[in-house]
Amino acid sequence: MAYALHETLEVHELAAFKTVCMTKSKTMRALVSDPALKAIMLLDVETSARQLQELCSILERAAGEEVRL
Amino acid sequence: MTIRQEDPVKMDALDPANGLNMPEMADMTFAADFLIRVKEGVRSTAAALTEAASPDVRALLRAQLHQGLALHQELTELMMRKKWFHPYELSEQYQLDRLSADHTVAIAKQKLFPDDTRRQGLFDRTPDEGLEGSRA
Repeated sequence: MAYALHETLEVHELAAFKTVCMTKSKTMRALVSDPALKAIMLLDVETSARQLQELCSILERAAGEEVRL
Repeated sequence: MTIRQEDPVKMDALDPANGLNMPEMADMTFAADFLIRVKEGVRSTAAALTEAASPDVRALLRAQLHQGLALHQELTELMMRKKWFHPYELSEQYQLDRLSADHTVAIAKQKLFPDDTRRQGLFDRTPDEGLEGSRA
């Protein structure tokens, strides 16, 4: 399955954005005192981590194709 | 000591009176920041989806978009329940925004750190050797 270049770049940018967001949620969660907000932030960290893995697997496959070009 | 309402943060940074309602205000700020990030995530995922051509990328981004929207809904509901966010009462929201803007300006005017922040001897070299004290 071949990926278009612009598609790969878009996924790459999304992955970079998600990395920053996840780091921020993870670090800021320590400063939050409200339990409900804390729970949603934890949910965001877990979801983002899974989404990042999915995005990374696409990027890895795209990088594998790049070698053949 | 009384605190005037028009000047909420008039003392120095270490005064405990400044800590009044601080956990709630901090939580409000964190929630607002979180909301901005979630919104931006939804927008960029949607934009990336319109650029995607491969079926598996489309499926993945579609799923992530739905997860982002669900997160946004949950956060918005929480913020409305906590009265941190008033989408239906514009004047309430305006008052709240004014208050946090005033607080931010007051905090920005405070002297939170000492002038001299040199890490003497902690680094193998000093990049700003020519400068002194607060300019370093």
